[in-house]
Amino acid sequence: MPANQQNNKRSSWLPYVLLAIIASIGGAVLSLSNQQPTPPPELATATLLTPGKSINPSGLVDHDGKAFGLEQLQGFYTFIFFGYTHCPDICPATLYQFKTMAKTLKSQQPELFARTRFMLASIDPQRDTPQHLKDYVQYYDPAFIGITGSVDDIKIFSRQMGVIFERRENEDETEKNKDNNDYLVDHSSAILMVNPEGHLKAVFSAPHNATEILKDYQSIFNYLEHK
Amino acid sequence: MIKKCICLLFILASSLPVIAMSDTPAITISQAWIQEGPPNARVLAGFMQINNNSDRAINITSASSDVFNKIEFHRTVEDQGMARMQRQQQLTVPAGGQLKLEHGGYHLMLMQPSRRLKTGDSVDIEFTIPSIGKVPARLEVRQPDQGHEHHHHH
Repeated sequence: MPANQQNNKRSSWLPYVLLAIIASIGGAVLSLSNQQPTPPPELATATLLTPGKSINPSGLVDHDGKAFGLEQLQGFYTFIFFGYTHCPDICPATLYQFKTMAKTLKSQQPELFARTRFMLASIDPQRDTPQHLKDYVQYYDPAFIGITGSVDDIKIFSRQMGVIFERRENEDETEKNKDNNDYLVDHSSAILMVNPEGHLKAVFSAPHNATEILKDYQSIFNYLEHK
Repeated sequence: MIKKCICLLFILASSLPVIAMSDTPAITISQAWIQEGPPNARVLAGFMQINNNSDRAINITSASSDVFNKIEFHRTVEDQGMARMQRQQQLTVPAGGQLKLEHGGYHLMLMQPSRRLKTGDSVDIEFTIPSIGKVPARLEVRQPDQGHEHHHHH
């Protein structure tokens, strides 16, 4: 009789134990799947690329003449603008926005600043030597990096980044132009962001405003780091 | 004959913007500035607001300065994600209206500065306006966020 009772007791527990196990597994699965679809952030000026796009810069150098490739892009969030130092309007305006962003990050989020880089990729290698680029970008911030290379290598890299540019001779036919050094370069005005894996991850369209870009950057960063 | 002459004079006179009529000059230039650039910048941009107080459109055909090798008029045009620079043969300020030279739009392209220009400096330039003559302007060198730069107001 006592043995029978015990048996009965055990068999009456069993469904509850099983239920508890199933429930806890179910809960775990549910909470996992709940984490998965964190909705992408609402962005004001950026377009997030999902998945990111593979890029592979080759043949390029930084402003110290050191080889610049994918390895140099990994480990940081990098903002890249394609421009040139003889550009009067858009490039100084954009670099000024970079400068403002860097200044704000340094004072308000130094940890994030340490993970962030700013680059000017020259689309005018004929006039933008590494040294000239260095003096130019570091005026805006000593941490800024200029990259350059042959026109062909820059073109390949820019195409991977979705950027196009074309050289246009100045229409002015004066003697001064005979040195063939007076020309403009039309170019895409977007700012690109590469993630620490070295993938093109976001595109910021013009007009550029440091506050808006930073806000989107923060949202993208939180999304990518905590999803 | 006399009638014809008077008529001709009248036409001639009316083709000139009214400048002698009041103390207000036909053209007034304000908020003129240059964005300070890197020490090795070979090109800078000049911005300002040009008001036409006359009842006729005013054309500015050229600009010059001792400080720059050459000054051109340009307009940045955003076209399908591309920033294109369009050279302008002249700047036209509409009658009774204004023309703003600003980032992302019309601007002076200031080429090959003869010296380093820093915040606090000022540069004198001279516009050639066929209907008026030479018109001077003084541009203040500064950073974009100092003073009053406007993209969206007014």
